[in-house]
Amino acid sequence: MSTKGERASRHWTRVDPRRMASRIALDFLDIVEERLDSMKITRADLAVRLGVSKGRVSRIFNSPANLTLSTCVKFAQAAGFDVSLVPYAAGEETAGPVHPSVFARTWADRGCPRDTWQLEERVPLHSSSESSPAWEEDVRGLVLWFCLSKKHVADPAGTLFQAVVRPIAPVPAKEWPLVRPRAARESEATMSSIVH
Amino acid sequence: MGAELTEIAGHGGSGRRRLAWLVSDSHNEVDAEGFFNDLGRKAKDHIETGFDCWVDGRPNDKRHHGWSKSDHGGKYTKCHVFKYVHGKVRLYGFKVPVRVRSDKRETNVELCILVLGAKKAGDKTDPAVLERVRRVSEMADVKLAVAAYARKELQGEVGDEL
Repeated sequence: MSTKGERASRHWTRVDPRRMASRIALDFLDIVEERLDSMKITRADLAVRLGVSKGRVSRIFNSPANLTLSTCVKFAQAAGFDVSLVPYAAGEETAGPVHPSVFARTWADRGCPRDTWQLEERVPLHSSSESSPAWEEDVRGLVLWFCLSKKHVADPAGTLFQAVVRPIAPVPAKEWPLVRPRAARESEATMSSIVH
Repeated sequence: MGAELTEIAGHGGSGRRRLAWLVSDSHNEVDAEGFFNDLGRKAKDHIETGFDCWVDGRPNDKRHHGWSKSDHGGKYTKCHVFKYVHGKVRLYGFKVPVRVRSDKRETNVELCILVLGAKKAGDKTDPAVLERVRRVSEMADVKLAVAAYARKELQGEVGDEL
């Protein structure tokens, strides 16, 4: 732990690789636990699902040093997640590891590409709606809607990919609270001009 | 010595939030830094992960939280706690907005000043602990320490509102 120093001092996780590993494991477990809570799955339930004792589950949550990669996969799957191990370009010594939620949101913002083909097909989202193609706004609207809706959080089977794809038809565009797709706006404008 | 602030380094974020220990030899209840230093590595990892959560702007009630206007009649909205629940560890502090000037730009920084540590089981916070934190935050030498910190370390002024 650094004290009394420059703001630009090394991040606490950079001092010792074991502490970096601990922080990464805790970030991962926080996300899993938050999802399990939203699914009303207790640690006892999780232990039953995984076929281990409740004490074993508690030890993993409380002592991240015990977290192995295969345990990560089991915990993630129990919470309805897929999991990837993401090496990325080294950051500054003053910064800690990027939180996985940042990667997950960035991935969602890009329309959840499943492979390199899809990634290359999907150009970056533009800040100006005037310059972005309509399909991009559609994807962005769907992703934001599902990321933030309680329905998505409460759906135990709903991985993000399923959630993004599955309900396109039954969700009326007017119910999207955040981003109205341009196609829907144009359609409404057309309807309005016909009516009036 | 009255009171002074020691910045907690090693939690670099975007710069919107910073952490500091309140250090005082005249207020017995001010013990956050010593309390933290006496923790084992595992507990420190949990608490520092909570520090990162707050500095980076990630809500996570299991690691840290404040109190809203609807709690305790709104008396403790400046108070904040960092937690390692399984280890029964709590670190309490209060938040202060600070105006920062650097590179000809002015920006607001939220500074969380940690005051005291406690070993506690259960979820409910004892309001007496929050009252102690609030009282400390109102002490004249503590306000002076915050102002001195703002001038010296942040080259700005202590503000009323963020």
